[in-house]
Amino acid sequence: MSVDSLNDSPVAPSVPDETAGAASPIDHGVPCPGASGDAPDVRQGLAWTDRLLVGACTFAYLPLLAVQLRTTLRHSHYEFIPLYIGCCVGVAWWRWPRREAYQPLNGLATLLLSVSLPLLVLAIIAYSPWLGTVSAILTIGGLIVRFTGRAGVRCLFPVWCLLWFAIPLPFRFDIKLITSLQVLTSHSASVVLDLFGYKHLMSGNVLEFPGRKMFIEEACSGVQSLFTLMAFTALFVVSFRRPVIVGALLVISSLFWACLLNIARVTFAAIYGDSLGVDLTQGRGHELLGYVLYILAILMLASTDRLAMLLRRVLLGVGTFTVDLFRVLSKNVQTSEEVRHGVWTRLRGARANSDDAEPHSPPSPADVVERARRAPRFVACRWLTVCGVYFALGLVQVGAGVSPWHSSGHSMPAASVLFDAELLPARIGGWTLEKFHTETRNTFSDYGEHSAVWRYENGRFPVLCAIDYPFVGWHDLGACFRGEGWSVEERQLEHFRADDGNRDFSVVVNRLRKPSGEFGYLFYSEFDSSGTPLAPTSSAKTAVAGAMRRRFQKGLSTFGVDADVIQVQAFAPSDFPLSDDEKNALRRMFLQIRAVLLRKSISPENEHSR
Amino acid sequence: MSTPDNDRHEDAPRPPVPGDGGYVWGLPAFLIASLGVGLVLAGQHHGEGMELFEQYLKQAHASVEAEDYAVADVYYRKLSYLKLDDPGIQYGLACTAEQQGNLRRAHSLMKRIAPVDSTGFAAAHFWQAQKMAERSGITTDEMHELRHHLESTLALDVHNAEAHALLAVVLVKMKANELALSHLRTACETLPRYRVLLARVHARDGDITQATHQARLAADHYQRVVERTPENAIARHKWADAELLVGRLAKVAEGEKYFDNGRIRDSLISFYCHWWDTLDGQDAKRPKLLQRAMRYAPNHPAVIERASRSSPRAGDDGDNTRMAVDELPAAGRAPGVGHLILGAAAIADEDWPKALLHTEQAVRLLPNSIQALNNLAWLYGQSEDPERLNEALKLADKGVKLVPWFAEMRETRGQILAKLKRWKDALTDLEIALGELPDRPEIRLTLANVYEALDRRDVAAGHRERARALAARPEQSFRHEQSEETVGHLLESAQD
Repeated sequence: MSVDSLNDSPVAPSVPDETAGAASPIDHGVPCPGASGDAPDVRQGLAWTDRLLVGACTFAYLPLLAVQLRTTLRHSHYEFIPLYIGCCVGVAWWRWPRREAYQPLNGLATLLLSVSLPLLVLAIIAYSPWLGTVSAILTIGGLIVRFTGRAGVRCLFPVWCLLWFAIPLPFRFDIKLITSLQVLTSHSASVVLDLFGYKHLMSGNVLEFPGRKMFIEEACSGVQSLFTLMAFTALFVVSFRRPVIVGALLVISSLFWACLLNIARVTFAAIYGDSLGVDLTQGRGHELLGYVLYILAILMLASTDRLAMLLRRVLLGVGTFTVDLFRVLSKNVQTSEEVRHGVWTRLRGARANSDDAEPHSPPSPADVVERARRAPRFVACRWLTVCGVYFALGLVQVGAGVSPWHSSGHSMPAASVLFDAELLPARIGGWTLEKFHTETRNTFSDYGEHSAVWRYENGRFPVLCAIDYPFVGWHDLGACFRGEGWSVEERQLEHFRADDGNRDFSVVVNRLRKPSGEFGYLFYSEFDSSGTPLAPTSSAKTAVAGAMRRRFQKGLSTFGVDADVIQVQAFAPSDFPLSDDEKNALRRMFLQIRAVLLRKSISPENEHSR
Repeated sequence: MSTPDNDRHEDAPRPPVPGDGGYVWGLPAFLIASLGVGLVLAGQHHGEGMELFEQYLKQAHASVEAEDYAVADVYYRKLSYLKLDDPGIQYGLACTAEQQGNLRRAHSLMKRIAPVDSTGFAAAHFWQAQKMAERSGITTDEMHELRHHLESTLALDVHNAEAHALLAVVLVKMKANELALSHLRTACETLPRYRVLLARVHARDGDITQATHQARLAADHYQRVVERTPENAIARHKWADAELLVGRLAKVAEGEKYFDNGRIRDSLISFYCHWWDTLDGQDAKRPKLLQRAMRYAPNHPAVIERASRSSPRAGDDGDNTRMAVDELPAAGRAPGVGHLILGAAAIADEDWPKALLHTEQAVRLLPNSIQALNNLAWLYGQSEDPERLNEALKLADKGVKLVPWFAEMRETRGQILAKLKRWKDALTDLEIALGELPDRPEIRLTLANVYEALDRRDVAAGHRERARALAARPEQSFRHEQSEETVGHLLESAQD
């Protein structure tokens, strides 16, 4: 369904509401109060079973939704979500239908709730707040339909659709999308800089002028403003009731503007940096430029809205003209207006007949309450059962300790514990420790807030061993390297069994290369703060399998999300391809450092230091 | 679906449908989007053409010519993105890597574009051949690999005279003289300096007539060069070398009498010095060569320089040279040289009081000897006392004034200036010295310190890396060995 199709949906006709202003010939006077500014009374007429159902659902979903919100907010490109949800609630409030217009649609409500309930169960079993959120949105839809009937579908369906913009795309497609777009925009900015004669090298997101290097973005950050722009554009489309074509065009154009303004940002920062020596890729200048371009994006979207409306008008004009022309050519004297009117009349006639066959009038609040009282006992029992199930699921989560603050029963290792050069041996295989350094970034950093890096040398090539944390869910380190100008030539998954023999874990091995002749070998693996290994979520199949495996590994005693993920990596850059022996040595080294860092990350000593 | 009619009958108000004036606000989006997309498409089109590639290539070449290899590296890397796997670009990357001291990367890139089992990029094959030729202790397999690189070079670039000459040397080593002669003849068409080598190969083959003819052509060539540029010491040396070969071959002259005149004497000294250079430090011939040179001109700078370098060495060479030195005062000739050599020997033995005594005496007796000034300035420069350092600087200034192009003196002055923290002055001297003595790690290390003090850590890191690579490099080289063979072994063959 769509905004327009919903607005025009052929629901059962009723007596037009004279107070609601101009009634649509289609919706037959089931007005959305936003039209007249009436404040709805949501609870008016709610049966006690409904109230109980709302309470049970809230109880069942709150823990998972809170965890989902917490994990989502750890990504800087979803910082907008609280404000966005607030706006959605406001729009819903504004558009809530009056109870006078109530026409039951219990079938749809039951369908939505029947789909959402198993999803919630699956979310709990599969350890997925994301799935829980999907289930919650379906439940919200079901409850809306149940409480507001056909009028609710008509008025609130677009608002309900907005909720889907508040959840990330599954299987990290969102990250893949924004990082791909970042690479695209960096490349486009590079070609524009070349066009303007600025001699430079753009390697991933690293812009290099002779004697000067600028990091346009953190390598794996992606186009940050994309989802914000898309979500708020959708909100605009719904709030201002744009026709479906215009709405779709606007949402798609938000993607275009996000990319174009990102290109402008990179180009501007590069030109400014090269000409005036001022670095706009970081600090206040960076932030200011971001805000200015964001405002510009909003202005451009407003302008695009006008353009889309014009386009729609032109298209409709062309369509009308074509119909008229066709009629004239076929010697039919009816104009398009007459044709439309004729069709319309026939359509209304058909509906009128339908109304005659099954007359329907909007019940009053008193009717609703009365209907609830007169509800058969078995119906009440059915809803009570549903409430009981929701309540039980909520209890399971509370009992298992699902909360946004205490996800897995283990907290992250303290920097003071892991920021220790002597944590790793001075010699590993043929490598000798040369340098150790640490880094602390902002909380939203795509490289993780904390990193400790050990640099080893063996005379032929260096190896950089690092522990980075925390991440929310699986962190695709390959994407970070792509952002630094590497291309992943080969990606392999290797499976190992831990020393204790209890846990299998996966290691991602990437063979990297740059066109300028550098080679890179990257080994990395991730685990959460309890030491449970994470499986790479490269596809839907592996993601689901990984989630189920983790559920199995953790047992039912521990709930939580992968909000505190720790990443261990070993990266060997070289100017030549490594031999098999060298790769094996590197693999052994990685497994050794992983074991040490894992042990240290989850050791009781670490716990005490916190 | 939505229609105008539907819109009109919507119950909830839609924003007012813009009139013609309202639609005008759509224009900025249209214009900016068109401009943005147009710029990106134009840039894309610009990037796909050869024009951009050539612009960057030009910039890269200009940076190489200006010896700004860090900048050249950026441009070559950009070019590698514009034209993936272009061997010419990879070659440029390798050359800049070499100049920045990253020999491993240079080798890796060269190997990729000029593999050992097939024919790749000509310049890269030749680069690898040159690097192999510089190595000592080359094995038979490596010799075949060297031959492959040279043959691949010539398969792709038949006019590379240097490659012809080097291949000829390899072939001589592999006892394929006939083929070697053919390559040498080709090389000599554009590079007459290889006629001496050609003459020797002919001589080794027993073709004395051809050998004499080629040696004569070489001598004539160098004579013309010396007449044109009298200060060209290398040409003098080569001329002497060629004349000597002609003499030997023709059996006209008897010993050195044939050359006993002013101009040829200098050439002969140059020849002995060069021969001395090609021999190993422990070679018994070295003192004899130096003694012979001293007989002609004991105060000749080249002789003094060799004598001072030879004396510190342990073993027969140093002892024999000392004996030669002892003879000089006894004969009433050149006592300054004796002090200079004894001073240098004391420096080698780290006997500082003795070194100071003899070197100061040498400077008094040979006030214009650049070697003596250099040694004394170096000795004073080891002190931390500012006054001593200033004295050292005065001596170094004098030395540089006397012989501005003497790299050793520049180096000494650069080191003293660096110690006095006169970073920019030190930089000038050290970079001049580096131009002449590129393989000396001490210069690179001091340069690294100077650049660090001048806050150019990137350049400093490059020098430090290069210094490390140089320190790790084997001292002996195949070229020396080859040189020894051409000058020594081939000449003896010719005499035979």
